[in-house]
Amino acid sequence: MFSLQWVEPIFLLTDTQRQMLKELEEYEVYFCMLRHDYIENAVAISGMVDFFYYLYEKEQLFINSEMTLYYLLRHYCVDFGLSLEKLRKIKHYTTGHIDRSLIAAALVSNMILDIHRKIRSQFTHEEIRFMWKYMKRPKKLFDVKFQKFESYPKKYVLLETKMLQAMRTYTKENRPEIDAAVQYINRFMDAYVYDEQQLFCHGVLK
Amino acid sequence: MFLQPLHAAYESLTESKRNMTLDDYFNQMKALILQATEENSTDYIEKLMEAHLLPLVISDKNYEIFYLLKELEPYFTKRAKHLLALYYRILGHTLYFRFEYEKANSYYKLAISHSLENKDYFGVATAMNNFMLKSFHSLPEDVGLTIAKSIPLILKIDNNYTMNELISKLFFYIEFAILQGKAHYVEKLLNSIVDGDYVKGHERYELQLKILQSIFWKSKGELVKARGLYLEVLQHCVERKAHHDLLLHVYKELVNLKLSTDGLQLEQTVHEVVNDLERSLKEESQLMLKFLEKDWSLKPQKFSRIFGLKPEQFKYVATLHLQNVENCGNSLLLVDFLLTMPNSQEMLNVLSLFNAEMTAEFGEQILVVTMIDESSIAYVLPLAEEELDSRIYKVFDQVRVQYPKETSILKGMYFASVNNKENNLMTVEDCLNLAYAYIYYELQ
Repeated sequence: MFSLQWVEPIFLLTDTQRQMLKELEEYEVYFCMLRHDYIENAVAISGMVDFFYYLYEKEQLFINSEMTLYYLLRHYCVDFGLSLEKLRKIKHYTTGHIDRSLIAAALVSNMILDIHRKIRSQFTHEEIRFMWKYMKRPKKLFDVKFQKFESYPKKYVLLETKMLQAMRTYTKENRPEIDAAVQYINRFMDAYVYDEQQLFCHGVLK
Repeated sequence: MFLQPLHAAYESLTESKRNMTLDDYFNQMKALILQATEENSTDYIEKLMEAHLLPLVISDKNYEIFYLLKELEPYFTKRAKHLLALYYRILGHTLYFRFEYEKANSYYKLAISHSLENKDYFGVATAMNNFMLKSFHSLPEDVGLTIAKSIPLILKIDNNYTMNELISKLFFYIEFAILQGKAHYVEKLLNSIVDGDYVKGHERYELQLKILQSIFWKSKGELVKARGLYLEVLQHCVERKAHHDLLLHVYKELVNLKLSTDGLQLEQTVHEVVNDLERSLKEESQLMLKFLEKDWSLKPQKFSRIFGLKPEQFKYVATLHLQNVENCGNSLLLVDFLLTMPNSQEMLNVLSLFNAEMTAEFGEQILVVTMIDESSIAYVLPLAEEELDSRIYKVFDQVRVQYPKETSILKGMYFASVNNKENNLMTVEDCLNLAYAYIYYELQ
């Protein structure tokens, strides 16, 4: 059974918006569009949910500042995605449409996962394993009861920062690659929306 | 043994397959696939898989196909990555036709992902269709319709699709919409397919289209039109002695609708064909049962038997236990293992040994167990943290006998126990979060 109940979206959401996570579980098939080596990865799934909310909701969503403390990398990824003007434009296709929002969220997540694949070699297997384990549930690491050991979970934060910096450098140095990925997403969504009109509103097959 | 050149052997197999027994055909095909992998001829591997292997997954060679593909997995993952989508799709089919839907979906899932990465939209749409096949009718109506609508749209993303491929992906959406009482959604689309004569010459699609039209007319209350089309399909299938699944479907529809087949000259023949079909289906299902029993006894579910429930099932059952605070309450125990280098087989061996020692020490006190991920295992036990912590060291000591700290691959074992009553935590997620935090600080 596919579950999303553990996901903590990075945006401030109303109870009704949060309840949508339960509904999204029925749409598991769209989560299979994530890159195969991240398909079960909690951070990739959470990231796709973040982009889904951004793309689906009509009103502007605000990032939950508490979450940014726990999820530095996810915060960076959302910020990076939303900084790309052409990506912001697809929101007029996706608002209020679950399928379009999920597909676009998967495609944007894949663009970011492709960047992550490129920088992965800068980290040891052990570091990657450590990050994936704790990035799913970092909140407790910051709990007051552990502050007698450390004021904050240094190893976790430093590693996450190192990963974030590697991604930032990569995106700066490889702009044409990012632009091509964004263009692909735009073309995909243009074709999807156009064909939807043609096929299902006008019955035009060709 | 002298091997024919691949292209000649492939042509020969294609030409002579009708004159061979299934065993001979399969063996020749298997030899050819092995030859093609040795020669790294991915074009021929793809042709063989699509044209020869795929149709056989519904035969009694299903089991052998599965093991042939599993044997070739290292080849595909290392040397033919572009064929992985097709590889996983066929693996999914073999399991689907053995009714192992959940396992089939784990392969369809990979097929969707790989196809999208290859920009093979036909592959994405087909694997999505397969992934949804078992659950479509149990989904809420709007969810089912949304997903069914997406599939042909994804196929259409590039222009390399054929009209037959598109129409085959639209059939499901049309049927689903009509059955959900939304015939008006698809009326234009259905008319376009009929008027455009797109399926002409493709016998099966022509029949499927007529069935869809019948369903459409039935939903509109036009039973005479529906009957006429159903009978056309029935007559065609009987005359051709083919498409038995469609024939049975149509026959049952007619019987359900109490639409008499009176006046149809073929009536006697129809009944005979239907009786024969039902008999052979019963025989087939008996064979399938035997086949499954054999499969089960040969390949027991080692993984799930050792490590108990799947993580999602574990979360459900464990939460029930963690809501119980009688006596000392229940504790969630999380154990995380670290090897000196990544080695999934060794990790599985360590986990198996640990679980065996846990069972020896705690026996029936283990209420539920699962593998959380490739290096962690979780239990729920009816013990307080203190007692659990004092006894767990015995288990670690036993594991260290086989995996000494200084000389073995097992670098570390880290554990945390979280008692629901002591911490006032009642869900698995809450207990796991705290357990992971304990392990994190233990690691520092």
